[in-house]
Amino acid sequence: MKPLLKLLASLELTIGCLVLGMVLILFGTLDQTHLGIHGATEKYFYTVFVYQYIQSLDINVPYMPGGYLIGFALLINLIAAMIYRFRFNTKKLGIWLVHVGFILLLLGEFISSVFQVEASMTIDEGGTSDFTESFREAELAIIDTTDPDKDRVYAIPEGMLERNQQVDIDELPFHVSIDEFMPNSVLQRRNEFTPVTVGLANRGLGLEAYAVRVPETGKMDERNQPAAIVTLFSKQPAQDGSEIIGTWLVREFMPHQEFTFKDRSYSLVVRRKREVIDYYITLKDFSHDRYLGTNIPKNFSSEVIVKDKRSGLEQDFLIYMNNPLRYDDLTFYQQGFMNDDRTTILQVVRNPGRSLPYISCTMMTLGLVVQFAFSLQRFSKKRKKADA
Amino acid sequence: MKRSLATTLSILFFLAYIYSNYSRQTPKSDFDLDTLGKVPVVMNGRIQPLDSVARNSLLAMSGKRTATYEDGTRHKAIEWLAEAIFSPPAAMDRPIFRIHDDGLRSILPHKDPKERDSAIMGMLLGAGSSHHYFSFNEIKGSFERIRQDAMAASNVESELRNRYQRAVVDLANNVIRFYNLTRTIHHSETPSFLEELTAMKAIVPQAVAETEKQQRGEAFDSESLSSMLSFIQVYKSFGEEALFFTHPRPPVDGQFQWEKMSVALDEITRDGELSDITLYYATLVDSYRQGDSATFNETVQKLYNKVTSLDEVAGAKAKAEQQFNYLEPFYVSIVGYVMVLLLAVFSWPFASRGLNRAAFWTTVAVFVVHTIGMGYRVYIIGYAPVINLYSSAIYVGWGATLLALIIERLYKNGIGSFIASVIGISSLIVAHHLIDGRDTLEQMKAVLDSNFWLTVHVLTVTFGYASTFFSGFIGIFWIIAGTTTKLINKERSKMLAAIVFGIICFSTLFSFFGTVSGGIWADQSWGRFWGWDPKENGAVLLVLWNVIILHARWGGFAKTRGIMAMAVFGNIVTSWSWMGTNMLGIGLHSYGFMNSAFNYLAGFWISQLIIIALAYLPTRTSRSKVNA
Repeated sequence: MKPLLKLLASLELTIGCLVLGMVLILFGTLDQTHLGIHGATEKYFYTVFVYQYIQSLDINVPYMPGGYLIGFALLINLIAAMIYRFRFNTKKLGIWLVHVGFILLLLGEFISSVFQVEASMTIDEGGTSDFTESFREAELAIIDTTDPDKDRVYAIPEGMLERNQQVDIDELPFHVSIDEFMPNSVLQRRNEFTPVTVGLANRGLGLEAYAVRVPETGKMDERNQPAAIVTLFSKQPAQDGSEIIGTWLVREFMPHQEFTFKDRSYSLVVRRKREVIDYYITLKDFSHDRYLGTNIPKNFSSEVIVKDKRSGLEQDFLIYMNNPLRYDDLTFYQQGFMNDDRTTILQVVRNPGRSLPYISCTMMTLGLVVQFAFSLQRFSKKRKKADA
Repeated sequence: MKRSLATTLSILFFLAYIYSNYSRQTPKSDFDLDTLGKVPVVMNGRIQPLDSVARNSLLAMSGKRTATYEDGTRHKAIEWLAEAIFSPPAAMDRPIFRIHDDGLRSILPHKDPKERDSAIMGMLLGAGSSHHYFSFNEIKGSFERIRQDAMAASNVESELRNRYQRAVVDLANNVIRFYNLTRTIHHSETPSFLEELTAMKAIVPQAVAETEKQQRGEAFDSESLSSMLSFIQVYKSFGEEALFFTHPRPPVDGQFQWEKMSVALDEITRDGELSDITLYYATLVDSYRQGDSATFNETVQKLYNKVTSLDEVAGAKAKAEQQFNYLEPFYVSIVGYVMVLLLAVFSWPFASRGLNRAAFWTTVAVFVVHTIGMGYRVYIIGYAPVINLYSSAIYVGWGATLLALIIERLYKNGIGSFIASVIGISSLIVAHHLIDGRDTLEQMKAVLDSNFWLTVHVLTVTFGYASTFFSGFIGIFWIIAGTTTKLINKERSKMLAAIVFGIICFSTLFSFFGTVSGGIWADQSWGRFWGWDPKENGAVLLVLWNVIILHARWGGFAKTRGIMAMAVFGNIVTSWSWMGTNMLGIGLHSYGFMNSAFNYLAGFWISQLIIIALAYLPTRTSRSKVNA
């Protein structure tokens, strides 16, 4: 058992992990030119192994340890070293602070990588919103619009769409079958050359167009345009025995597609996954200042009112660059604008591990200062001796 | 006394050089162009003196801050600018557009190569290198072709453009910039600006009355109306083109609200009167054209007093910037560092304490000038010293000098001064090449607009670069001096190893804290402590490398030789983190894309690898027999 513990606690392992970490980070950075930051992060850092897809064999081959594996190895190495090698005394205080801080830093990054949620909120001047939209995840929404005052929304998340299965929602009089889900797609006009083998819709906008699957993008300035082909089956067969209500092509940025079934009206849409929050945010004013006579942006800011649904309380806030709004467990950042400076785009972030980097980095910085102060002290003592 | 002689001489020589360089900047002309250069205007969204407008415009067009005219005479930027804004027809014949690309030259009229004044320069730069400079009038005939090619090229992403496309886009921009400059103060279509204004003033009252009649629906005299409208038409067109703002107006919400000349001319239809500033500028135009230097000089002083009394802050900043331009603190610092380099190198063979002291105190003097230069920039832009790649290079040199002073104070052997001078010279030359024809005192983009974080994050992380380079250059010194001289004995080797270790501890602390504070800034700005952005990854690579060196030393895997070689490799990591990440052209905050610089960077990496290889040559081949 001892040799294994010795290996786990060894400095060789530390240095090995750090060197591998550098190599990984370098490759992960270079590949960002192709994959984008999100793509590279998923491929290199938030993974146990880095895989390469080999087309001829249709398999993914792991060829390099990923961020999770290196981080985990460092964590084990550190804990083992603390148990077997480190001896605690005041002179080692700095070392201890640095290494305990580092453990927290690793854990913090791991927690963020798993739990951090980033979304956005778009509000027009004078408009109000109470939901955020996910950056990357889509959902299929089936909206019961029968009641003119109130919509009932049934949303199927992307995770379920990907399984291409039949979804059964108790309140709906029909089953929803996902025939095909495309995480990213382009739209083509249907004509006489359109191949009949592709999934074709027989209702709504799908009569005019069809979607073709394209590879997903992880780049910052591009976005996926998910599409789905959906068939609805009646839960009770009609008098002529047929169960199929119809097949629709639904895709982000397509208008809502309406249909009626059993005297109720519905609409179908694929959109960014929404999350309803416990307050309304109203945009009073968005401003975008530029430096005189130039197009260099000087400042973006959004004046908002937050009205809490639970307490009815109203508060005014100003969100601008480097000055976000923190409310409940969410933080709203000024991210962008559109529509001739009349619409604001806020980035909304929830990160339960948010405070960990602050704690760990404070510990590590303190530790480094203490440790190097000891070194400096030893050094100046030696110098004095040498001079004397 | 004797031991201070070298120090005194060296510092006196440095100060004398600064003085002569400063006084050389004052334009020699009957016209008071010195005062003209101090007049504040607003360009690129910031207040600057006309001297800076002149230097930066000329730099963008010709790649130099002085202009060589068709007769071979050299002129200060402000002399050239005065002509361009007051008497455009003459300025349009000045060959100031530098054209490197042969393809581009082939669509321009052929110019006979001109003999260079100096045969040596001709040998160095190639015969007929004046070929490269064209005047506006020479380009004018081909401009339609240039414009079309530039339009086509601008559809190509800037990183993917070929040499011709880059050149044609630059030329088109510069020609337009020059043309707009000539139409900033006066449109130049009438011989006398003052007479034009008098004529306009005479017709305005009636024209205004006629306009009011027209608005009331009464009969009006269309002729007197149309003569005013034709004036307004001319002013409108040149108003859109004007390059800078001339008239300060009372600030709104603390924001300055300057107006352009052409817009200000509209005041005559509003108030029936012209403001003093308009009249002074008009007088400058006329007196310049007539060669009337007495009137010109009197008026330029009045103009300066008027503008600075309306906006005192602008006056103070413009004056400071002109001083900064004249002082050229970073240029004279290069000269200072060269002196330090020579003093330090010569102190070794002669084992001269005097030269050694002189090297130290000259480093102090250069450090002061370097600091003053950064101080000017901070005052002028109102931001922490590092706002772009250019200023980071200035700061890296400064940081290395600061470390060198500490090391030199401790060991007094000239090595600190020597390393400081090498890093100082190279970082300032790198900075010089990073200017790339741009105004380096640019305005801060909104996303980075935080003085607190610039100070905490950028200054720390960049100081981390400076200190890592410092230890890396000591590594190079140990290797090169060890193989080629007998300078590195056992004691020196031990001492250098101690310095490298100390500095690496220091860089670890700075680069770690800098990286972390960047994460905190990111978390505050867009809610992501760590986003794996190239710049962030670059910073963490540097931290990791320093940490690896420290662990390798503690574990005894690397002794002196290993530590030195690793410190040299630190130069590669640092230059990647500092420059390389920007060349990927991606990420949220890469601050400047450079295409051509990649070759230089790759060359630097190869040189470092060669030096590392040298460290591992067998000890018997090196002249200093240090067994590490």
